[in-house]
Amino acid sequence: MKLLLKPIFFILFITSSLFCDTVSFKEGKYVEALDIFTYRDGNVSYSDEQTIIKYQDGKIITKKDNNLTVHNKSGELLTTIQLNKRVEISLYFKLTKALFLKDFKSLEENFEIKEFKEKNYLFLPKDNIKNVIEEITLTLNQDETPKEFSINFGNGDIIKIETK
Amino acid sequence: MRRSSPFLFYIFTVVLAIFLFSPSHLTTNMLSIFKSDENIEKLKIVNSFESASTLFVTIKGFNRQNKDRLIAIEKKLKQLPYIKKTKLNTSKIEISDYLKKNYYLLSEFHPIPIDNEHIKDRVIALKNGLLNSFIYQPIDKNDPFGLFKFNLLDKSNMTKDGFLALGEYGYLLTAKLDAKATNMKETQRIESQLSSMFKEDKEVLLFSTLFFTAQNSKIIKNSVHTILYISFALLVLLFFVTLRDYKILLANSITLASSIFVALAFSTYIFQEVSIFTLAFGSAISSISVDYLFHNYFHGQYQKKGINSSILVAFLTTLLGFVLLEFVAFPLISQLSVFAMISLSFSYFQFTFIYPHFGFIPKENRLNLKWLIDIPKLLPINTIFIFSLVAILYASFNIEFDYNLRNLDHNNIELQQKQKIIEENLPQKTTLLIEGSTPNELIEKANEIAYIGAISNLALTQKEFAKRYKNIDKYDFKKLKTLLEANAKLLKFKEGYFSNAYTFIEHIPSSYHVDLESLKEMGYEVIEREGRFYTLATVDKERIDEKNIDEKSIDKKNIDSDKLREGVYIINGLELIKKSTQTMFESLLFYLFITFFAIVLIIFIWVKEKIILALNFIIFPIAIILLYLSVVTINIMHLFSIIIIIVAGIDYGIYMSKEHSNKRQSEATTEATATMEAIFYSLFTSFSGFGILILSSIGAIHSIGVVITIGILSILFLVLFLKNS
Repeated sequence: MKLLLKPIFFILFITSSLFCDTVSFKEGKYVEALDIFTYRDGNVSYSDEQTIIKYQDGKIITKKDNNLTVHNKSGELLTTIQLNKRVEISLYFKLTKALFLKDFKSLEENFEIKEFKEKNYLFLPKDNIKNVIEEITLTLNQDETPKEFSINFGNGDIIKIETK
Repeated sequence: MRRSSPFLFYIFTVVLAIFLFSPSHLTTNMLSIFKSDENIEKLKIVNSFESASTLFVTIKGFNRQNKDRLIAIEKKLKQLPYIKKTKLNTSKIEISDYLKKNYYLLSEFHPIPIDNEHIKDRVIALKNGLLNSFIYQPIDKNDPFGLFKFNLLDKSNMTKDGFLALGEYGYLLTAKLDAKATNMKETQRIESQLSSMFKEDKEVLLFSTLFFTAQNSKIIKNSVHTILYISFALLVLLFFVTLRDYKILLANSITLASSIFVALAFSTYIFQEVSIFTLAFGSAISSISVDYLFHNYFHGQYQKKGINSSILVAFLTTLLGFVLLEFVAFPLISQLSVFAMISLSFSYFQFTFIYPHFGFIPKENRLNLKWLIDIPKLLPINTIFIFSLVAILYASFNIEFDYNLRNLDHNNIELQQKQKIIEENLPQKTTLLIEGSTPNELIEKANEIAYIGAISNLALTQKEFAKRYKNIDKYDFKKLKTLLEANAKLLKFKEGYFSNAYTFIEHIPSSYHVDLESLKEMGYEVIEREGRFYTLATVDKERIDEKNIDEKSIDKKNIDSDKLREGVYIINGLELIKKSTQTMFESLLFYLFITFFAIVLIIFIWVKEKIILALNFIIFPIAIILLYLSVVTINIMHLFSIIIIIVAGIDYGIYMSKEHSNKRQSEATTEATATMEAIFYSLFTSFSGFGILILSSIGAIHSIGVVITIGILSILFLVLFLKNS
């Protein structure tokens, strides 16, 4: 019996570490250029190795190492992006991951963090990121998990993510 | 001479030495022993770059825990005074004024056709991107069509998730250490502090090439200490058990110590940089002078007046050898010669002028060595001489030179393994040194080799600037913007959204100036040395080979260690040092021959018909040493140690050949016994002092020990078995 328990624990440990950070969300986007709002639902899961975003329309975005791949509903590869050549996308992924996981430590590098109201945070860019991002706000639930966050871009666009 | 004069002179010399002693001139810098040739200069330049003192910190595996640990380590390191600049998070973007000013000039310009159809398609694509893209892709209001592509900052494949990465090994944190390899104390302090900081954390890999210098010198020092204790124990044994004369031990210790100190003090006063090797070999040579003492001692010279002429000739011959070696153009040899001349002279002075005042006399109850003289002396002088010449000739054809100085260092396996991990995982392994008379020339050269990815175009040549400026200037941005705004309106873009598009064109500077400070900020360090400018670049070795195979003008053989093209050198530390060592070997051998023949001449004048006997004491040890070295390989330490054996050999040759001359039989026997005893004790002292180094596992020290031990045994063999006439 003891012999059996070990592998079971091991498998449990592996799977739990892979899927521990899955969050469902609603993504709202304000596009200033066209003065319109768009919405879509999805969920995101983070592990040490990769980030997977699944949207309701079936598109799956996978970020692993320096590569980002997009597959459609039927599993067909739509595109591959090398992130070390697309700093802005890499930065966007890093930011959203940090906000979803409430990883203030890695945000501290680029932002000044202020708690302007209880469970409400304001992130002001410290370095040259301020040319791209104006500010970020983050609101937490009672249990300290992220409730919503919005990223205000320098070009007037806004992305708002609400967790479900 | 008044009785107190020698003592006064002794005190005066020691006091003067204390005043002249400049310990800061002592250096462990290996490069200081070489003549400053082209190769050594290049290495010195490379070592003077800040990047030569980079600290690497990494943990195997890419996971969040490791990333957080490195972030914490970075914070900790930043608080240390000797950590200048750290790098881990590459998403931290600090754009310098230089980049801001020249952003569009440094970007690649990709013009598009300016016709309505084309522009309309591009605006539709922009709109579709905003509405349908799976990832947020903002519009750059300044350059909506993305005509300017700035992709110079992210060319490196050394990042993972916005963090620096060591290939596939793990995240990487680098820091610049504020230390130079030449400052041993500082380097050792930094190494020990950093190492103890991460002592508990076995997973953290901490490495800097400076650690080699710091750790190895500490290990070598400890090893030398252990050997010195053994050596001292042996000497005590020799003087107490066999000679039973503690006074002579004490006096001899004081003499040797003061002679070495005086020689060291004067050397540090004369030379700006005195190599630690000078001290090591110099001390070894100084210990050879002990034969002056024993010869005087056993011949009862301290009981009578006058100077022993054999000893004087032996001393002068040795001195002449060093005077000649002084002309060798290599710092180590000339320093060694100065050191040896001062040390030997001061020892000789003490043994000859101060010791008679103490009236030292061999104890009656000392170990009886008379039986040594009764050993049948069967070896004919001429046979040994011919054998030695043949052996030297044979060895000289079979000897193999080992120019790799790394074989002389302590084999630091732990650090070597760490270095291997870093080097194997670094994508770019070959270092290039680029040289130019002006910053502009430096940039031109860097651009010439841009095809191997050596350096990105972060700096422009004036020619390249003019070309780029012209391309931008002739493009009709005004028309482009009119068409963009017209189509944007039709496609329901917000009014005025593109009003700022391409207005930056008016601000593109019409002149260009490269900013060396900014280049340094971005990792391209440029240094100025004697009016020349230098920068470093790292490339993939395979790419150099690949690209150059086609270029017939470059000899493939030269690529490994030499010039890639004019002003661009491939830096391979080991190769460059090897080349210099080779030149040094050749020059040293040449002067050794000259010195050898000069010594032969003097011996001939002094001992005349007994020249062969005297010469045997030099060439027989050399022959045996060379026979041994022809089986292994010969390195630079062996060569220096051979000098020590020659110095010792001359003295013994002179003493041995002066026996029996114009003496009656009984007198001759007493003389022979005294000489035998003097030589036996001198050899034993030299062995205790330096032959014992054979026990060391450190290449350089072992090499000295091996040569001296073989040399001493060969001389002893001659003393015991060689026919005297």
